[in-house]
Amino acid sequence: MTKQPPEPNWIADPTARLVWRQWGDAHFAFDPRSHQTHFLNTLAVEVVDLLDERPLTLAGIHRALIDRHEVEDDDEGLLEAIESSLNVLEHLGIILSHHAS
Amino acid sequence: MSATLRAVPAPELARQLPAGLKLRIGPFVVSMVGRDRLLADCLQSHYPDYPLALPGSFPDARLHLLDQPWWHRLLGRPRHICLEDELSFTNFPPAALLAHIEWSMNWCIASRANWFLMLHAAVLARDEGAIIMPGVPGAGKSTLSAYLMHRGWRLFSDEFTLLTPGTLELKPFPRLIPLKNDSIEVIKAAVPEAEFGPQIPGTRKGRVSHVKPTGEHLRRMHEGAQPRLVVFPRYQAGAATELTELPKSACFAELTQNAFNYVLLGQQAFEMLADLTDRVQSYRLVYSDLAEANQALQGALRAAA
Repeated sequence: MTKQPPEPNWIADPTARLVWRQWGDAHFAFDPRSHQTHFLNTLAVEVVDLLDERPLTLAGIHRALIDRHEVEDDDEGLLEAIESSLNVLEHLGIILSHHAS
Repeated sequence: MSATLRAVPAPELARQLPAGLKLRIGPFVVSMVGRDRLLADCLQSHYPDYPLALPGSFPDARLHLLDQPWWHRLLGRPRHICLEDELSFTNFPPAALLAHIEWSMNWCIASRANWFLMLHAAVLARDEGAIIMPGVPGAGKSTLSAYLMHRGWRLFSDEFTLLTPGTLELKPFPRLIPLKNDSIEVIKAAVPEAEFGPQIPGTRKGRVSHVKPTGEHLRRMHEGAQPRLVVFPRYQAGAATELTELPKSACFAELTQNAFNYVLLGQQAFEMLADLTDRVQSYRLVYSDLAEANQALQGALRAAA
């Protein structure tokens, strides 16, 4: 029986130092390292906000969001949306993943 | 007000041009260099109301029309404009000199004037403030600008928006407006008083003819203005005039795509465009009738002021 690899922890990249602007549900983040401007939805911004506070796993982010919004844990789509956001944020260099040793 | 090129007698112009004649064009000084009568004629015909720069002014751009042996004309050889490096920057038939002076100047300013945030957008102003009109080539910026500058709007530029860091003041950079192809006839019909340069066929943008800004636009080119509106125009044949308010997020996203030096200026540009977005009302304008577009823009500007 093979052992499942541990779930990665996600953290906000401390070197990112993003500059933010928001109009309604549209969030824009300027990355001074790349001079790139990223357009992010509110879910992605909340994920970054959580990961700014402490490292979390996917399940931990899911739990934290449910707690933050005080809702029932009955929507499977949320987990997929968070995972999708994590992939985008990692690709943009805003967050990092690492496996516990 | 300093003297204009019109005040320079032809013999004096011929004496100065080989060493460089400096004109003030908006906030920039452009030095024109060349011995050829072709250059003197072009400047006298198309730039007479531009002021001469003060003696000793440092030029932001230097355009040199290279000499050509007389017999090169017999072989149909092209003329060349060089910039500071004295290498050929562009070559062209003699009849296209005006277009290539203007395009060379565009390149110099777009690649150098990084003390401004530069947008690829037209700017026109009235007493209430200025309107910025970004747009891709073909959106109708130049045609609309050529019309509006003859209908009570002050021309800042048909394609260069110069935003000052800190204040967001817009600086005028009034130039000849290059109309392309059918737009030439559209403006000739709509603005009979417009003064055109020669028609230049076969350029990389097709048939081009330049509309001159009148002296009044040039006399006031030191007067900046505050932005009130950002309007994204789109000419659509036969379309009814439609001015639709745009969410600020969409305005900001599009502005970031329209700046010449957004990535270069980095965080400063991000914050300037965000501040601009907060300050203005933004719209999309679809139009086919120039007079109706003018009325719609005036109404929106009054409402925003």
